[in-house]
Amino acid sequence: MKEELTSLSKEACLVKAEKEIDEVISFEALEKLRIKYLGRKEGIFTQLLKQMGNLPPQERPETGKLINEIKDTVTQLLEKKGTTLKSEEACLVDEAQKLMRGKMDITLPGILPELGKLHPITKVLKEIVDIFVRLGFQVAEGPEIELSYYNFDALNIPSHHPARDMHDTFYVSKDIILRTHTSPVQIRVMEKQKPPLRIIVPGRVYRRDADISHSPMFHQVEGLLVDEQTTFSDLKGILSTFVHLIFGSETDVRFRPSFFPFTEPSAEVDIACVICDGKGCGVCKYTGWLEILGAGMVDPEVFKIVNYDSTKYTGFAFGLGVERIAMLKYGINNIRLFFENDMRFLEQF
Amino acid sequence: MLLSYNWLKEYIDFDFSPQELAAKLTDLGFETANLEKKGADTVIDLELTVNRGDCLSMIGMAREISAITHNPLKISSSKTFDLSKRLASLKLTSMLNVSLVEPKLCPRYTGRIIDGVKVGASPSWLSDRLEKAGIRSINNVVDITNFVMMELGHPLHAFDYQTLLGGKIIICRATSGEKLLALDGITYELSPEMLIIADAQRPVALAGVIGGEETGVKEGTTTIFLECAYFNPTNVRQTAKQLGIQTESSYRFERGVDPEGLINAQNRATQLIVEICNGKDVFDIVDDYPKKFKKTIINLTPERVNKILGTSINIMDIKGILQPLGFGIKEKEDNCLQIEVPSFRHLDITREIDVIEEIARVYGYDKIPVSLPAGSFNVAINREYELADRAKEILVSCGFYEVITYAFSSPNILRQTKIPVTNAVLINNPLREDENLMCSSLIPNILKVITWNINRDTYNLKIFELARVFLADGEKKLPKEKRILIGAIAGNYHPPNWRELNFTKDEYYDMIAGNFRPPNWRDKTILSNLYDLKGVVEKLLLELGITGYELLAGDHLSLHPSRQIKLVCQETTFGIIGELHPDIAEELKLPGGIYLFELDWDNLVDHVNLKRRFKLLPKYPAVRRDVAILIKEDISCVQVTKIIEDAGKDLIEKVSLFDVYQGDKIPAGYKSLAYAITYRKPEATLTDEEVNEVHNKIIMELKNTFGAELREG
Repeated sequence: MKEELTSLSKEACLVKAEKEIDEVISFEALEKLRIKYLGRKEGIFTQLLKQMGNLPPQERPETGKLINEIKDTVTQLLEKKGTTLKSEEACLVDEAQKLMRGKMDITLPGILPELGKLHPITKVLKEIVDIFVRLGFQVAEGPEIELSYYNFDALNIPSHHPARDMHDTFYVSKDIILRTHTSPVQIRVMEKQKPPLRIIVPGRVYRRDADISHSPMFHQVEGLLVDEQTTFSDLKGILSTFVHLIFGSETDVRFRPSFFPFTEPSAEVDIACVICDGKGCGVCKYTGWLEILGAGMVDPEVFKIVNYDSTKYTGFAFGLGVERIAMLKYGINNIRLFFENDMRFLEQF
Repeated sequence: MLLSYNWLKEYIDFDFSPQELAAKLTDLGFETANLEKKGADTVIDLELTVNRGDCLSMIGMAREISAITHNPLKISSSKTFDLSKRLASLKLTSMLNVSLVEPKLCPRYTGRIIDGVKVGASPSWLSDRLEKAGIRSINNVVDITNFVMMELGHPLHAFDYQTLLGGKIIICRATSGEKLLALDGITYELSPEMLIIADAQRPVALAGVIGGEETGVKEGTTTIFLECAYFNPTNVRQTAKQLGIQTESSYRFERGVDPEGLINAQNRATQLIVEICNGKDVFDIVDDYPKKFKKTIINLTPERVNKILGTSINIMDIKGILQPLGFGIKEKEDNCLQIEVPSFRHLDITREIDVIEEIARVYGYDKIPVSLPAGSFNVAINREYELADRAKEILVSCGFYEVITYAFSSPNILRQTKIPVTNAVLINNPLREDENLMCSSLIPNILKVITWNINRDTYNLKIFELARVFLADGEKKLPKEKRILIGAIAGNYHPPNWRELNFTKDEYYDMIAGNFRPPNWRDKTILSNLYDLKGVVEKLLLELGITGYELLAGDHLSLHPSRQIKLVCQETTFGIIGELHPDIAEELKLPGGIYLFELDWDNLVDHVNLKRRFKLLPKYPAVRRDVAILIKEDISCVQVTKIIEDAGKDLIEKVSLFDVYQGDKIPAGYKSLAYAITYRKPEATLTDEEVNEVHNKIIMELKNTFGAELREG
């Protein structure tokens, strides 16, 4: 800034100084501004007074008076701003102290929102069903109290056949029972629908048995696929895919021959023990394998019962126990825990 | 079945270690439960599937090994079966008259008398063999019958000929009430469905199941009658089931033995009895075989095999698999095979698919390729299943835990919870007497969960279950199955925490910016009550798009008579909400303050509407006006709300109750209700005049209808 003594105007000078002072927000800036105006060597007013010698002598008293007037006003403005800044600062300090007084103990525990949860069986069941739904299967359901006909006879398990020993049955009457598996739904669906067919049947089943790995009520998922070109290798493909999705893609799968009256050839599907990685432990009875699925090609006898042409159609069916999968997945050692519904159990999943 | 590794080696050569053998057998479909080392031998515990009766013997297992090794069986040419030199020309008929009365239940019966037998202890090799098979040694004759059973798969029975009365053996049905003291020391009462072996006067054996004590071979027996028969599998099973006996013999007959192998077994046993028990005179065999067994012939093409298995197996493969298993194979034109099923497989192999299974099994499941099914399928969503998932999701979002309870119940718990017993479904053979009904209501189930948790010091419960209940529908028909969604809360709605202990509830609400649970007219208390659960049900129904139902005073017997609601839609009650009846709480030793809801899910599902349409967000501001009125306490909240909504219809956006007061500040018999009314016009900003006009109209209506008095601030 370079003030010309010749064109000095009190108004213009003050407006400018006032604006500059007003914009100041710190003591440092205010001090800089004070030196700029009032500095003894380089200050604007010192500079102006130095220029006085260039004026004609008759103008000197007038101009000197003017400069001093402006200088006094600016000095006052600067002092006033100093006071304002001081009180503002005091306020800030006060405010900060006040905030500090409201300091919270950040180590106090957070208030946990309350979440509800699905039962672990429902979770695993959903996971299983979702996989098959993605593979094109459709959910079907059927009655839990079932005709003995659908549960046994229509599935090629005649009365007085040793295969019935595999099912400890609860009876309501001679012909009415609690279903021992979800397989009767296969028959009920095939009676109503023609191939191609892909169904998945989740549901509760009942067997007269109770210990740490058997429960009188438990959950099964049954699957059925019927089409013109379905082969045993398709069965292997679908079930391997399922195992890899639910237990991880590294899991070894084994198919070995077995017997079910309603499938032929029948297979039992094992996975490498998830507890010991197949090395052998108490859970897998030192075999390295865990049985998780029963499966097979639909027996032509079953097709005959539902009037499907077994020279044209082939199909496969499979069934698995949900509790067993859940026990393996979560490392649960007693099946009863699922049905006690202890909150300390349920909140873990 | 227990399989001795060393014993098996006498019938076939193979190079597998016991572990390898177990693995091979597993791959063939024989699950190995356990391997146990016994001296120089290893015993494999095999779990055989019910269709493989033919494998319940050494020779049966040897055939399986032969199928994978192609080594021949060692027994077929054995000269030990040659009895010609020992055979006397003694005619059995001179000593015993065998009469087969029930050829249906016993298609073939063979018998032979051996005289001059010396009964005693078995030589150690024999008792050792049996011990490995898990069979206790009795005496040399009985042990030989068991040995032959283990070797060839045919159960045999030896009678003490001298104890058979009247020189007769009759294969017939028991007469009602007849009794037999069996070899296990138990006297069984027989019935006419059971097939027995009788002498002239009494039953001497339960055919195929167990022999009689009195006619058994014991020390001092010199003449034996050796029986080897084919009994009807179903009849043996029924008899064994009915009497609760399972023997090595019944186990094999149930699964079917080889009708053509009886003579061979007779001869093998005779040969051993002659050798070991000094048998001197061997009579000829009586063989009652009225209707000869017919061989099964099955036609098969490799194409069919591959169509089912997804493999590329050829005729050579098929021959290599089936021949060692005893199948006869003839090649016919057109690549077709004519397969003759061996008699020992006559029960489990009767169809093409049975042969294909044999091929798959021996070929190896691991060699069958892996593919994904081609072909089309119908993609459809099971709406009911998805909706159940959605409902569970909503309740979980409301902080509820899902439970799964046993579907069993008992008359006692039904009585305690005031639920009718008459329509419950009875289980004939329950596991426990207090689980002899199928549940007809889920209320007892959910209370059981509450009891369980309270007894374990968990007091704050919010739980639900979606499950079926079962209602009898006449004896012949299947019971009705109804899906019920039940929920309950017990204890505090929010569990107490450190903060609540330190602050008053008012402070609690003031302190949180954006309240945890928005304050409402009741606001001050955290202890749950009916309105918490009512709110949950209303929210659930709202989210499921169910509207147009009414909430009326309920009359459910399990609930507190004056604190319950029924949900009614089109004159059908589809749900209840209420406090557990104090009598029931007391009876079950439960604390007060338990609230339940129950929804008829099957009914509800029909009314669900999950379609949503976006509504434009309002462009113009809303105006809120509060109104507090004093009215008689018996006027219900919903009546008031309705008047407000009707009077202000077009301009009202929302009416919400924010305070209910009854107490000292107002006259007895009256209550004060305070409402916040939100007004808004979708197309313009409301002017004060417009709002005042409607608001005053509402106040007028309230005054006119209820005699309401306006309360100031």
